[in-house]
Amino acid sequence: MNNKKNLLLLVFILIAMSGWYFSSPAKIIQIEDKSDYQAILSQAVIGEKNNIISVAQLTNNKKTAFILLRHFG
Amino acid sequence: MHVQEVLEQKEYLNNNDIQIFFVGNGNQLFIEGFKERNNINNPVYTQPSLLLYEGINATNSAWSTIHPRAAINYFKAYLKGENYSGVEGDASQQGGAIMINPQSEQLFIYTSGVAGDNIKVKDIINQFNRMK
Repeated sequence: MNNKKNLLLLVFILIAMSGWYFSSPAKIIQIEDKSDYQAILSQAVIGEKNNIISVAQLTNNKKTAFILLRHFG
Repeated sequence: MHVQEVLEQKEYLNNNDIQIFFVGNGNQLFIEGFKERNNINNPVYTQPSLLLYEGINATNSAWSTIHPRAAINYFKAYLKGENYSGVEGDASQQGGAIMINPQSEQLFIYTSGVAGDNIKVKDIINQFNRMK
């Protein structure tokens, strides 16, 4: 009886862990709203010499991918 | 580190006329060390205010750093021999990517669900191909 309970508990834990594992997936979406598009392009970033430049200036009318890092470490 | 995976395929990106910029969220004083550790010659930028991250709804929660998938991602990074020099930015902020084609005024965003959910270079190129 105890073995059956332990097995059920183990199965429950495995299901819960796998549910947690697959939760919060990464997402890719297209920004359709032009005001959201402009809002992102108008964002300013800071360079290593404390120079400030906008996302739009960096793209310079070219296809551009900005990789946003978790941190520099 | 994810940065190395991207840099290894820089030529592939160049062949597709895609330029890449790395943007962090720590103090700009961290940029020099980051570039040295990763042998980056291109400019690197930062935005400590996190407005750009908020603009794409990037995940920002402590849970996303202790998530089981994040733990697996840390372990995979460790097996690859990636070095870690401490948190130089917001500890609970997760990353993402912004892919912009100014000519067609199209924009795709990628947001990591948990730490280590990094976008692959082939996915970046696929998104740009979808923008035609």
